Amino acid sequence: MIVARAKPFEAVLAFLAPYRRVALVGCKGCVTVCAAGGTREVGILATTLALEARRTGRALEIVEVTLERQCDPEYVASLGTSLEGVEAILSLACGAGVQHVASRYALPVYPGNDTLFIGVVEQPGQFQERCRACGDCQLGVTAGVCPVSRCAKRLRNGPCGGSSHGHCELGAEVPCAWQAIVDRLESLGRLDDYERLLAPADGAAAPQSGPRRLDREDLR
Amino acid sequence: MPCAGRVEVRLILEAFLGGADGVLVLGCEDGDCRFQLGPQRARPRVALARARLADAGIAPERLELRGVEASNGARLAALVNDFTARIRALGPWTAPAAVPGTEAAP
Repeated sequence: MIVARAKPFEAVLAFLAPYRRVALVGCKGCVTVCAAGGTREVGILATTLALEARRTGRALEIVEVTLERQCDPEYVASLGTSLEGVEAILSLACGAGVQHVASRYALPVYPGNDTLFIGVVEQPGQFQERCRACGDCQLGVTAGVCPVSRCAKRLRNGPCGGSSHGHCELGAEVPCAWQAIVDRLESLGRLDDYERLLAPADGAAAPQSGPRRLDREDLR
Repeated sequence: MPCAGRVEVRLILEAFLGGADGVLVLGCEDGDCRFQLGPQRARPRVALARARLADAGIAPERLELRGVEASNGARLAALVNDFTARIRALGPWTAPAAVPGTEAAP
């Protein structure tokens, strides 16, 4: 999932200060799983904003909506019926959802979250990055451990000289991804795969090559 | 509500929106919960609600979580009376600051 974290309340307050009627728009996708922008978080933020407005004597009406997904056009289109009189939107989706909503409605759209990474739930409340969307997945060779997202140097062939006793030179709290790859290859009896050098990543698919697109005629 | 562990953050905040000057969440004490995890579940939720109150500029001490045995009526009464007295001393959170030298409108 895409992992996000709520922006500080002061930042949200600063975004919404000029408006008297705002829509808080959540998403039932990734941000619901990481508890940053689902129905529950929309509700908590809405009541917090309402309390702040009541305390300061400021008029504020809040519309609460949580879409199935903010990254799908049909769900974003369904938001229109909830926006009567709304002066601004605060999206609690990931950055993609915020932009998708902004592209459809002629209203100021603000982000309620900071989008962090593609990751997994290690245990409730703990998330770890596991994918950098490099566009050239080599997990089949690296025994299901991604060096691009889990090695500090993003080495496709490692480890570097900083690996020590299973830890990265960054510190004991950072496991060495390449040590994990070697350990897992060994446990699977596939240590020969370690000898396979990975070619440089496909530059055209890499994030640094500019905005990426995927066109699939079979889905049109 | 059958267990403090079921209390939602929004529900607590809405009690304030509904006019409460303070909210006391009463559950069982650790080790005394019929559902075992009630106090452990309630604690982070109440902590989050307190943080949200602080965000809204409302003193977080207006919200408390306390454990009390269901059979100990005397202790329950003492807890509630103590909390009520402290909230009363704080006054309403919605009250506008008094301006010295002015009188309230009739």
